Amino acid sequence: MQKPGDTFSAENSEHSSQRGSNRPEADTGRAWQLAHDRLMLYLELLQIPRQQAAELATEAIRRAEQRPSGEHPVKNAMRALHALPVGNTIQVASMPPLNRGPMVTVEIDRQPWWTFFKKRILRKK
Amino acid sequence: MNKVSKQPWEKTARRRRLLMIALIFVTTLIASSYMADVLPHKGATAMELTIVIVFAALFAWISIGFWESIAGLYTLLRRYDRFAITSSVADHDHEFAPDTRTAILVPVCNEDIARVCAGLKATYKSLEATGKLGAFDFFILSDTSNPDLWVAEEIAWYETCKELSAFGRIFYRHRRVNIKRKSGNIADFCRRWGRNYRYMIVFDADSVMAGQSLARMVQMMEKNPRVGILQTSPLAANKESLIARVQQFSNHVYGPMFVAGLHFTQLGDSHFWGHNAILRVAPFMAHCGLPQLPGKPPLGGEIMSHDFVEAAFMRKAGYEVWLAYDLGGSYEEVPPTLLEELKRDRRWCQGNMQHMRLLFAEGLFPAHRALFLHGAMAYVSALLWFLFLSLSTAEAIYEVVREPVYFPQGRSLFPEWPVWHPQWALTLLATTAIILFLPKLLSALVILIKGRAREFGAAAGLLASVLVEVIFSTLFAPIRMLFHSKFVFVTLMGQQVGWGGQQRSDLGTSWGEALRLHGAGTAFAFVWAAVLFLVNRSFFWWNTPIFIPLLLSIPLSVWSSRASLGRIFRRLGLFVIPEETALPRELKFLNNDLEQQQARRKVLPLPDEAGFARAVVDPQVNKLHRCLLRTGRKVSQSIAAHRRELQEQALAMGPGSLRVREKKELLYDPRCMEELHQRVWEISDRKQAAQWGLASVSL
Repeated sequence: MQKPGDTFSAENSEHSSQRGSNRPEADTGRAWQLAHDRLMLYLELLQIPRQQAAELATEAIRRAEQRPSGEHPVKNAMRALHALPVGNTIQVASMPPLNRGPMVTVEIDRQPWWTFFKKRILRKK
Repeated sequence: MNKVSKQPWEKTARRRRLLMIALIFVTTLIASSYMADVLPHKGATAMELTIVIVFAALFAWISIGFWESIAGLYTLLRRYDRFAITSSVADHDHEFAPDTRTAILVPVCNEDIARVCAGLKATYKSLEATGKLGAFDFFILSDTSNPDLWVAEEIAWYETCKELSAFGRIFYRHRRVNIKRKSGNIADFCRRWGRNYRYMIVFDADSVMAGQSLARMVQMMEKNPRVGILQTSPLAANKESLIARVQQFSNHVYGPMFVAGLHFTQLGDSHFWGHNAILRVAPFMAHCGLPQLPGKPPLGGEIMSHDFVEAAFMRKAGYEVWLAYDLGGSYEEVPPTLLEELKRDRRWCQGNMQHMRLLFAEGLFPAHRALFLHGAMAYVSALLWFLFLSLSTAEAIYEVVREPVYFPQGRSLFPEWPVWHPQWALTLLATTAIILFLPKLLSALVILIKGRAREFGAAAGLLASVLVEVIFSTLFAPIRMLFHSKFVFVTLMGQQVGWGGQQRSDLGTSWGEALRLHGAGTAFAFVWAAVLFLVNRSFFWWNTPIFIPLLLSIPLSVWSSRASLGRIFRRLGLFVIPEETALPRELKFLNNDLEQQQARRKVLPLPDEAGFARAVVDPQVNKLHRCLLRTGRKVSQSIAAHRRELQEQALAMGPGSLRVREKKELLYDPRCMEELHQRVWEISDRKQAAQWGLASVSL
């Protein structure tokens, strides 16, 4: 999911500099790459311009790295991103203010055939 | 407005209706006596008498259509119709007071929201061009039960508002409980916001209307304060499958004459077809709240076809119901396949049959009682036709099997020969054909006389299309008859039908679907034809126009559903309608918008129908959805615990593991949705992430 213009990549990160030496470190590098890609996708869905998104993602990764938790980088990075001032500004109302009025159901004759018969036929007799 | 003085049109309407009844009665009487003469015993046996009675009912039914068409011909060929509601307003005068507020309502229920919004946008743009947009608001009123489609509707509403800068003009409401379906949805609007508006214009999910027509409708209502409902005559357009193109052609060629005929007899006691019509809100709220019918569904309970009943109630309250038969710019779409048409007919059949419970309801105008009867007869006539064919077959078999009695009881010098006059039968057949097909020819002649043949391709194409349409309708009539008979029968037997969304796209019918739908009918027709062929060969030949279409119903259903075949006919210059020769601005906008929507890039690799997953994953959609929910309410511990369980299930097994009810439960809880959104984005496991459309970012 790496795209041109992204400022973070597995190759240029401090984690990737240690890649290849052993498996766990390589996995860690991949995990941070995954975290970065996830952040970039999230920011793309928020329609944040690519340059600004890259900056926000880098900042979120930096903060996530400083978190002293044993959580996965993706989780840490997403939480760090949510702590940043990322604009999800949708604030809309889909309905106008209520202006209630009554609409009462029409009363109907439950036995219209019988009433009709009584009124039209029996009355004539 | 209950006590009103008689209007001039009422006297005319009474005279015209009496004339119509007399014409139908005389025609039916003559044809029925002919029918009795054609039968071996001249209608003297119980079986033959029944055949004659059923035939009389059927002939009366087709005579109504015939004489209405003749009345329509008279109306259309006259230069001036003093009762035309459109004549109350000048053609180019669309002015009305600026405080006249009108709401355009688009009730939807599990519909293709992209199509709905494209239609709404087309109408909006057209209205904007008239400069009258400020007097109108739009409401998408959703009864959608599918949670994925519900989210899709919210997204579509938001994007439409964003595109048109129409926040505060286009509104969206989703009902949690769909009491009384469409009529309940509109009543719910009336109770909440009806007081803000003098008029409401009701759309169907596939309606499109020109801004000028909308403005004129408002103006007509302003000029005629006695009018409670003003119905337009929508033109069918925009479909490409063969059956839909045939229907569109019929609607354009025969429709205007037929509708003008309806107007001729009904005047201010007219129809309301439930959409593409304007209603006066205050009297609608005061007098048109629909009651529950006595008894259980399908014939009792909630009124399904609400429109006829609302028109009757409006009229009962003293308001008039008019048909603007000559107002253009009103469009709808027809079902793209026979399968979809029959599904719709099944619902309409049940709805129309319910009206029989109101036939004798107190205070209704006789004209509306007649409309209830007319609506029911649209389907009951099929059962009568089936009964007629069955009785004729029984009679034909009986005549072969029984020993002829040449010397019946009583004194007689001569033997009684069973005589059959084929020329009488041919005369009767020809008369029936005239009654059925002459209006079609006359409709085409009206178009030729008015110099509008070019709009239908050309004069030759128009006449050839009428001829092919006659063949087409002859082929499909027995198939429809068999299904409608079944619908009436099962409704009378107490079987209920659902009221879900409709498939409106030109996707076609597969051979498997057609086999399931028509298999039994084909087998039935085969047995019927085989028995007649073996027992009474001459009667068999008379019935081949019934058997052949039934035996071919599977391929007919499949082929007629194909858009490719529809396009071939278009290239041949057949079934061309004016909207195909010169596409109106509104329909052009609609088609362009649908194309653009398809071309739009999607960031998340989620299918369009994965609305729930989108509401969870997409941060904008998640926020939008939570914004549109009412504020989170405190729920009991057990409900909260259940929702937590659902969240865990969704996270572990993906959105596909949730049932419809469970998705809805989560969607109704803004806190749950926010939490689920955050947790999904924190998933690190590749497989789990893929379930939410986040696979592309996994390694």
